[in-house]
Amino acid sequence: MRATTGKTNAKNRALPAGVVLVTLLLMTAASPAPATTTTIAVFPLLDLTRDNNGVNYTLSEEIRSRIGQLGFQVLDKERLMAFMVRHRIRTLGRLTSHQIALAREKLGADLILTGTVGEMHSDPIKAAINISLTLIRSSDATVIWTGSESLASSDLTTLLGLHDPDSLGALYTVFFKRLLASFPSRVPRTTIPENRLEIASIALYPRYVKPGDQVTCKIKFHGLLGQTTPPQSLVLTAGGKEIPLEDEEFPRLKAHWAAPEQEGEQSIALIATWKDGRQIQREIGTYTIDATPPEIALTLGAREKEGQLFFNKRLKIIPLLKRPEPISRWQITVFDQDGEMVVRQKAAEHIPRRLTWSGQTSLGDQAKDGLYKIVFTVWDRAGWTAEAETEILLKRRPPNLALAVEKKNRVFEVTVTDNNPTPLAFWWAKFYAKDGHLITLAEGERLPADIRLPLPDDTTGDMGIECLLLAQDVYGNQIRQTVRDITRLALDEDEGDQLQETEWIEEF
Amino acid sequence: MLSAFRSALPILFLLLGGCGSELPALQTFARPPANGSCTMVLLPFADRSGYPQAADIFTSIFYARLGRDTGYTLLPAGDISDLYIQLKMYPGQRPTRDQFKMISSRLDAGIFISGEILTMEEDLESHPPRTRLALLIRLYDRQGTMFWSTYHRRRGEDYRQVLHFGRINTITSLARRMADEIIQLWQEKGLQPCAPVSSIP
Repeated sequence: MRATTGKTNAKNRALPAGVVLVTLLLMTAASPAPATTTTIAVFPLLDLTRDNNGVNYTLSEEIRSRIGQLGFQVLDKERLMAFMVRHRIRTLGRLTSHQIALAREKLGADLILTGTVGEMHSDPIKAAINISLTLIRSSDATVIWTGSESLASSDLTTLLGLHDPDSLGALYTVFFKRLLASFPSRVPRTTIPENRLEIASIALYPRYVKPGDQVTCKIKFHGLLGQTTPPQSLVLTAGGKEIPLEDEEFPRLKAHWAAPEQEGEQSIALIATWKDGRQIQREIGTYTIDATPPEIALTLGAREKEGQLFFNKRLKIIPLLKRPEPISRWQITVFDQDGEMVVRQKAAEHIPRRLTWSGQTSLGDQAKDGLYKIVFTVWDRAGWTAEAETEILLKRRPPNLALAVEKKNRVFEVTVTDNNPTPLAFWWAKFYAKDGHLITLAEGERLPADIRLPLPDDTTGDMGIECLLLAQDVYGNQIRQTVRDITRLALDEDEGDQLQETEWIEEF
Repeated sequence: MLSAFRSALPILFLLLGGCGSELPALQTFARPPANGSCTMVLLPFADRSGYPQAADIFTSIFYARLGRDTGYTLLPAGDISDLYIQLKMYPGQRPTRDQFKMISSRLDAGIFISGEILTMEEDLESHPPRTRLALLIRLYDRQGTMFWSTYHRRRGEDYRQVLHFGRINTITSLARRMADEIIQLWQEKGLQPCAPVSSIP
């Protein structure tokens, strides 16, 4: 290798001076150096292989170096970093027009180069790299060149494996040559637009209003840069009508106005006019005037008795907007007969398709039997409210049965009573002998009731007559009791000891 | 009703696209706006693939390929990111019609490009390396009306010619190649380049 180089140098030395001069002139003409020195600010590359806000200083330096070799004046790195800190440029890879204009103003950068690292693997076997670059002319924030290149070591694998790249660094020569192959040597000229209207932020609130409600619009502009001049007049319009500005001091604007009566959407526009008559109009936003309150209906999933809706276990509550529209929040409240609120639940946005009340208060207690008022309230986005209310009877106390047994000669006289005032739907009582056969069945719709139970002639000693008793009130609440041996009741034993089983029957 | 139908069409198109039709596939709903390419806005893509930074990677590559010798004029990527922040939109969110109008007015935008990365896979450990990319791109006019929709899906292996030659070995190379194919298709279908506004001395 050295010998070859030596030969080449020897040949060069042997060339006549004229040939060397011509060669140099040709090389100068062919080089992509800019006609005049153009300053370029090479921003650090956004490295997406790390995270969505990563930075790759190594590759940024490589780019800076190679751009410098193209004849551009690359802006000092420390100065650029200080500028980024001063102007709080936190997002790499994508600059705003205002940040670009700032870079021109504060750094004197004619061009801005931003870029993104999309892929980078340094493992020798799977070495790969991707960089996408964007070159922006700072005078008018125009993208004048973009480039994206990807290269992997496997892309350069040859059949015989000779000179195949064995590291990421080995890819760089080919990679950067390809990436910057079409990098412009000259920057297209443009005239700097004098009149700009760069909005930094807009606050328009509320977005949904009732007629007559106050609407506020605040606009903040970016500071004026370079040759830009402030507009001679700024006019804010809503629905085509001019809105008086409260504070016309540039770069901040503020306006308050009352929303008109007419329902619908209104567009807010800003019209800026300069001395030379040039006008710029920008859509600022829209707000909606809602003149119609919502209407809500409540449907209860409950049974009805004599015109009164009631439930005894779970109540399904179905709220329904008569004219469907987005809402901002809703609330359900339940009041007892004394007007005391026992349940309150609220949430934002969507109305639930169905609510279920299991008869518990918000404190977790069982609500007492009685009449309750359910109130459902919605607020739409403009602040209109609608309310629907309905009454419901909670009845879940089951019949309260009592048995009294008296033995008269060879007859047991059984008296069944209900201590609950709720009317019964039906009741029945079955008496079984010790051997399991049915002695008698009694049934009816009203209590108290007397049942005579004649004893067989051959009955002696422990008779063990079992009684199954079931009653259901008109609201569907059911109770079933089993008395293992009613003869013991006749012996004046404690009735409570005999009630072996008492349970609810879940039947709705 | 019509807008709902239009929204559902790309999905149907995507499903049909998977049945061996020629890719990239373009679905047209209307003519592209005249001079729309003079101010193109590339909205941040949405990611459905789960690949780390898939949307950002493809967006940056597509942006770079779109601005390269196509005659289309792109707006600085930071301007749209800044507007997304001002409008309290998350990256990948498709603007509403009102938001489209507002963004058009603020940026003087002619065409909006939004998209979804449906699949992005890269396995460099396997031999040969495996790469797979599928995406759906929608183009809107300044009023927010979708006029084109493009679906594209490829594996790196699809480009292999002889032995390992031609095969695409990295996901970014595949993204770059597919971006070029999509842009070429758009040019063939009539997305005219912007008339030059700057003079070169």
